[in-house]
Amino acid sequence: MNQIVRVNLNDGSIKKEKMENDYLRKGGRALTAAILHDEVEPQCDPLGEDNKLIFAAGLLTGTGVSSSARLSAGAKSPLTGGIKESNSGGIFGQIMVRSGIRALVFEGLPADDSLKVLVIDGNEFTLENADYLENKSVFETFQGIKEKYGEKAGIVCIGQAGERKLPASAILSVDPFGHARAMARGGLGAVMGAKRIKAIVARDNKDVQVEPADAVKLKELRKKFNQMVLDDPRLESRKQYGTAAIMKAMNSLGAMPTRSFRQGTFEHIDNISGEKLHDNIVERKGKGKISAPCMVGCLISCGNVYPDTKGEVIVSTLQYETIVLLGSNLGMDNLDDIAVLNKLCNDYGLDTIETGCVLGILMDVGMIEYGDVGKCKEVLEQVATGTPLGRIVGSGAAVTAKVFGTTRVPVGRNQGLPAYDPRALKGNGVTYITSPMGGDHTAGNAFGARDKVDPLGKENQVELSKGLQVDCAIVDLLGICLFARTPVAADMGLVAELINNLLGLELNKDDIYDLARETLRLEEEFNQKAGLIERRLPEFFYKEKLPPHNTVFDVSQEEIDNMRIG
Amino acid sequence: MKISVTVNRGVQIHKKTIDKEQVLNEFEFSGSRVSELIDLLGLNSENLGLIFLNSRVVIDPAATVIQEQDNIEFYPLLMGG
Repeated sequence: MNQIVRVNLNDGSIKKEKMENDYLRKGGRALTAAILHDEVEPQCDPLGEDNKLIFAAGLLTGTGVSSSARLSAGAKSPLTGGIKESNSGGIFGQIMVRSGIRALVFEGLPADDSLKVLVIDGNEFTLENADYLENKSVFETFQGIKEKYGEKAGIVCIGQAGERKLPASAILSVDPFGHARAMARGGLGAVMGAKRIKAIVARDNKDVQVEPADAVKLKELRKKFNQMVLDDPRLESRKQYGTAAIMKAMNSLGAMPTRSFRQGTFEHIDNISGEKLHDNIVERKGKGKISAPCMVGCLISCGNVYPDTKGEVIVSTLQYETIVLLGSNLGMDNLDDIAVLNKLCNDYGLDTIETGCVLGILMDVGMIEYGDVGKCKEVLEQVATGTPLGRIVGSGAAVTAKVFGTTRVPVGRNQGLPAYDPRALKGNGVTYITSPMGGDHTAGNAFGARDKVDPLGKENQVELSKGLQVDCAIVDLLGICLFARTPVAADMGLVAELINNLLGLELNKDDIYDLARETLRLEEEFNQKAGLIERRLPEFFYKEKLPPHNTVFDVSQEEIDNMRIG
Repeated sequence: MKISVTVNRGVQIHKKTIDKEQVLNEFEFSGSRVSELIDLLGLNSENLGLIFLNSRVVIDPAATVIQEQDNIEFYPLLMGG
């Protein structure tokens, strides 16, 4: 019962399709890429009728292995102008797969402007009016939906930024504890807003369950995979410090964006480090928590619930990228202020990375003082209320830089850069301008290869990025968390067996690599046709030296231009 | 020679994971290579991730020479998320 459900917004019809063989062997990013490549005109307007918004489960979602329920969203991006996939944890993907759905495709545009909610209840699908959710924030939307459809419903939704079709908007998914997890990158929330879908709800219907091709064998394989996750020597640091475990190391590397990418180190690092995050949570007690999973069954549990000094929740989960982009990048010297900004971004449905880049630009041009959290809050609130400044901020870093007349715009292919400065971690610079995903660390993060290639050197960065892009495409098509990639890399044969015993396929380990390369090729082909071909960082990365190493991005342009994707 | 050494949380010393950063200023070191320092401190090399020598990443500890007043930092295995 593996099916694609198509929601035609031109006429409101909903159609179920049994998955064809080629699509059945694809999941997550591979499936979103294939559908977009096959069905969407690359030069279409991202907010127009011809774009499609796809949600796809990874190939491992439904196997029950640890960390395997990440949900992919895909569409032509209003931010980059190219193909885009973004994924997150949450409970929606698992409920969707239990309902027999591997992908949801939203097509067309509705004739009127009213908002809708798609409700999935087992095998039943209905489009319902959502006027009561108009202009509601993400957490208000979660609440409104839970009151109507039950506490345990899986929810994917947009906030005010998405409703306003702003290119920095995210799609948020509810996690097992009611917190928000973001499919943040590329402005896919704006595509959802253009299609006037405020939310998708998957009711937790116990009558429907995953029906594996071989349940007994699958259980045996699952045990083996999960043991490999538990045996990973990095497990403890992920549990204790989450993604923020790398804060101090990144600062030592001199690659941590600080004060709008003017520095690679932050003098207040000890106040915003992973260790400080951990200690604040432990000391404040109350509702704070370390080791909070973002999906059911995750053995890694790298998330956290960050409390204020009274123990009340500010935000979950405070992560590395956000701490840097809303922290050191803005001169914020404490985690409490960063957590408050993170919460506002989540609530209004904004990508924290893009927003951090935007606020950094506003500080760099002198509109806001570095470290002024109050002014940052005011600006973010203007996104929610829709003032002209709010709309500029919600339009992302590239637009904001143009409006304020600065060339210091930290983007890769028009997308705000994540928390690794490309001048001091040059492999990431290559990824930002060659990946079909644009400036996105999850598309090929060279931090993991620090013992193989000198991050400051010019040599071997292109080859490094190329390999990492394949590795990341594998993770994205499997629906597995980046933190669970150690067992994936160690035994791809086991991964293929898991998929085969879930879906009744006959894949081998080479097929998984081929699938990843094919995904990258399809994405690159889409981007070529869409006109997303430039492989250059903004000029200041080539000219302005980054302290403390005083380096610029100087990887051979010829090598970059000759790099083949996939 | 005297060097500065920082061993960060999560690194294993004699197979025991430390939960507090250890800073050794003016540490007296009579060896010459980073790998010798790792052995001397009892660090578990299987659990070691980034090593910095004066803020530059050490790619090969056995080939990297330490000099007077150098600053060395050890981190556990880490992964970008």
